[in-house]
Amino acid sequence: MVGIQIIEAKIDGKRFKIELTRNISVIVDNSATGKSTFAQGLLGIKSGNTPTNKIIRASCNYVVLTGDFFADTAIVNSCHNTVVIADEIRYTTSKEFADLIKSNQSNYYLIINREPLKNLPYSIHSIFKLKAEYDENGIYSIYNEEVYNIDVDLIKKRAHDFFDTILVEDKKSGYQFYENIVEDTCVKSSNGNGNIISDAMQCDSESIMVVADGAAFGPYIKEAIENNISLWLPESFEYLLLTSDIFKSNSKIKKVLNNLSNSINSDEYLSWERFFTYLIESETAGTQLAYRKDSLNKNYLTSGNVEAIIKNIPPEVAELLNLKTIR
Amino acid sequence: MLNLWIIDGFDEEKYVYKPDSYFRTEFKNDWLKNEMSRAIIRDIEKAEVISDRIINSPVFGDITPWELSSGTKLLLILLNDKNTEGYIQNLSMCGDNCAKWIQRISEKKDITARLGHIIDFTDEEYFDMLILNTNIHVYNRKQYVRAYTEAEYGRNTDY
Repeated sequence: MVGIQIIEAKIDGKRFKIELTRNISVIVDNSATGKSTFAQGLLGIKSGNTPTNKIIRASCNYVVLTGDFFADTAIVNSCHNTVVIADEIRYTTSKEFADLIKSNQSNYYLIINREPLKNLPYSIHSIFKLKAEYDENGIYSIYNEEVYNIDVDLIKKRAHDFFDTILVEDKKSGYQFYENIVEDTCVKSSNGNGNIISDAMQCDSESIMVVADGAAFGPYIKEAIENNISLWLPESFEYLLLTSDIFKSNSKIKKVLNNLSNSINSDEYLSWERFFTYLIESETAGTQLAYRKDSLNKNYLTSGNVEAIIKNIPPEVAELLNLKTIR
Repeated sequence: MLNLWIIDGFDEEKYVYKPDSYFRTEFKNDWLKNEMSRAIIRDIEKAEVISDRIINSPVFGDITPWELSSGTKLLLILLNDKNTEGYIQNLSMCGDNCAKWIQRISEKKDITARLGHIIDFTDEEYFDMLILNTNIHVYNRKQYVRAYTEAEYGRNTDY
């Protein structure tokens, strides 16, 4: 499925509007904000048991899971291009549920659960809370809002000016890039986002800055913030390259980046950073800038290209990273 | 005091993942009589207790205790249920707005529960917790976050 999906419903006299930009979204929130009212209300509408509740607008079909994994597996396996909603179900943190999603990628998934879903790659921008307010007609309206709606994807916890260590999620191209452009600072790879918290905790967490793919860092962001780890979370290293001036004359890349939700098919890409890798590999194949994730093409390290990439790094981040060309 | 199992390690047979069914069968009419129950409902639900089984919410109108949020139900169980010691309740059913109430209840009675995410416990409230996975005692938020992370990542890594 592609595109932004919207479900708008009138439930128990209130108006709910949930907008999903990516294929995996998570709602974490305070108690008593309407999460279960929304999910159970949608279930009631499906069953026809609550005639006063109704769908106002739905851009696609939806189902609400029951909590019985065996029954829910059959439901999910029979769904295509559907928003699948799970309301505080125990198995949603399990590998089995992650595997079920991976086998049924045409659907979008809306998972209500405060616990991080570490078997799934979801974006820091796909973690929502519910916000409520009375609209101009006096109707109590509830909609989803990003929890980590942050400028330049930078979360700075340290008060000092630079870091002793930069911990990069990437073990290949991204790591090689930062190792080449950072000065007087140790660059380490955590070899995947699942090791970032434990690797950072082994160091003095206040002297470390983590650079990771925001497109898949959702399960770890709260723990990282709570442990005072400074973070810079661009969508991915490939996204940083794609949005740099290196590709400013590539109209296809520009068009895709301007309309990501409609360009990335969940059937093919479980998370967006995989799409960005595909896009840069396919657009540079056979050229001097042919991109390979497992080894950085040296042509990205020419002074002109490094400058173009660094120009694409927010200045406050570039300063913290202690980049060679900044000094 | 609050005895916490972080993520796993507890007796699964005593575990209550979601409080709603437990609340449905165990709720007693006197649970809403005490002032802390009423204060919890006022704070979390923005609603007032009218009688033993009626609560008035400005958004939902008159509701029964069974229509309260899962987080509020769990707080009422922790506060009022005489069997709490026999079960492991799941504090991840509580949002951050429940955290201070968990701390206040744990000042009045010993609680043993499970937690699967870092909830927003505050240094401004009573803070005495034992992380059962690692047998580490914590007395403030910084120690709690560190102990939570150690309990979680200590399971699978050398850390």
